Amino acid sequence: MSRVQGAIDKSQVLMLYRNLLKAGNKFADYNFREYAVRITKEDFRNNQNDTDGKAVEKNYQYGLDQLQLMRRQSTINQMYAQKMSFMDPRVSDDIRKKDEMSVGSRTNEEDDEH
Amino acid sequence: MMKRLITPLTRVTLRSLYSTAQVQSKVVQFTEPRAPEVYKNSESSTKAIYFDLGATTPVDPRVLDRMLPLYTDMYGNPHSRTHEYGWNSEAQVEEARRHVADLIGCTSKEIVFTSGATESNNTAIKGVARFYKKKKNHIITTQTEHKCVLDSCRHLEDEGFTITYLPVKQNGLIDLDLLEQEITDKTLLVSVMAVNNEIGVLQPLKDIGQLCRKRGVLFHTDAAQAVGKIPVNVDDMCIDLLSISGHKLYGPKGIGALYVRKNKPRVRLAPIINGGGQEGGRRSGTVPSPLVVGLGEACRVAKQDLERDAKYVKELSKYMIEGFRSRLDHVILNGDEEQRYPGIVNISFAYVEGESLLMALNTVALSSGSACTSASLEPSYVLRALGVSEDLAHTSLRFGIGRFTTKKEVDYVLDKCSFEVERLREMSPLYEMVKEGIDLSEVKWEHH
Repeated sequence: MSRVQGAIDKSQVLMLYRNLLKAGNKFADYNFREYAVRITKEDFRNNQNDTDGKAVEKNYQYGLDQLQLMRRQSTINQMYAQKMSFMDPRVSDDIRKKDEMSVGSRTNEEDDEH
Repeated sequence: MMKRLITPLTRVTLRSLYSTAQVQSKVVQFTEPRAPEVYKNSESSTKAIYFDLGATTPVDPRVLDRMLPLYTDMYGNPHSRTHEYGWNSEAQVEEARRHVADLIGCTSKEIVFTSGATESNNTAIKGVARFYKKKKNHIITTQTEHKCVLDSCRHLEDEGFTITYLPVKQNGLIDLDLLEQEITDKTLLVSVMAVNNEIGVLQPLKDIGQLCRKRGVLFHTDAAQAVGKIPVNVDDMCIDLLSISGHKLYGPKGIGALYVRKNKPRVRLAPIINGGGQEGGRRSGTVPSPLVVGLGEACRVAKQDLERDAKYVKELSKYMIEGFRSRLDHVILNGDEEQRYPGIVNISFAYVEGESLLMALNTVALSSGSACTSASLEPSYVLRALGVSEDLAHTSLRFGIGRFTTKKEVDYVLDKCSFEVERLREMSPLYEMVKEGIDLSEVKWEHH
């Protein structure tokens, strides 16, 4: 993995921010996607006034590692995704209405589940 | 599917292609890669919103990312001493052990990996009881414990132990004075769960721990629902044994850990699983390195994000409880209002049958109590122990809130659930009587 060298300028941080949001938005799972976007925004907001070069460098490296992780995991998440969450904004209102009407496939078998 | 795969392949071979790369590209053109189907007899096209986080949590992508290399690449047995496969796996396992230990403030040597909180609880209770049985034979636990603690205790009764099942107060918390009265010279162990899996109340661990320490009694806590969600420190809280579950803190299923104190006092236990003497002889069997690494990463992430997650869950939980109270009347939050882990919200919607409500809420994944007992129609024994009447216990739902829950989901469940509760109440003759001002407890029902 690439190591960060030298001072980090603002454009690099912005680029990382954009890339993280882009990677986070690629999760097929609605909940993972929302979480990735939420914590990315939070982390950048919390650290936006950092002036300590060392801390910025450390956080930047952390962000790069997270970016690689999110790219890998969102790809895997897409490969195995089967159904979208009911809450996913990509689900149309028609499908939502239909699913609310369906009785579901709950089995009422009496079993000795523990 | 098979047919679609075979036809293009034969066609491609017939054309005598030059390279395998080309063969692959042809195949990809004809068949889309499809993952194994996991939905059986499903009628809906979307997955329900997940609100059953008390039953299990999704595996965090950061956890899966650490686990995968141990499945695809580094598959060595961590106990192999003669090659790199083993050494690497062992190093990974030991790093994970450190992460688990860091989260609860102990040393790595005090962590024993098990198959989950059920095994941890069994090992802790039966193991300690059997090791010290010649000296002491009395164990104290509570009526609202998880089934695996209660059942372990039942089995010990057969072996000649005396068990005290402490009642809880109406808010689900134990009475410390009562606990102190019950402790005798023969008392060996007190086992009280940290966060209740059904109602989310948080027992006063520190007070119980200090009391036990003062009286020379060992203190075990089932912290499956607490670790990684609220701060837990075994030294501050005087805990001697503590059970952890992997899949309740965004880790994999099938892995858990047991903390066993090594110093002041040194806790000894008779293992319930015998064999090759792994985990210091306390739990034999090959340590499942991918699962252990998953648990370790889940603990590391939990420690790193504890504050963020706790704040987020607390806000959503407050929003949900207030939302229900403002939309509906006769809504009762089960368990103490303050002394709780906010991620488990157990609410009774009076005059509505819980099962009917669950059926109506088919777009939300929920349960009326613990997953272990959801198959039976019996009201929850935890709610009954709190003194919740049988009819109210039947109307309760358990909502789980976690780091992946969104505010939009809470909004949806508030609206949908309130709508269904009102619809079901409209059909209920009981609710009509209540609206007319009749006190149901004074009604004399005719028996048939």
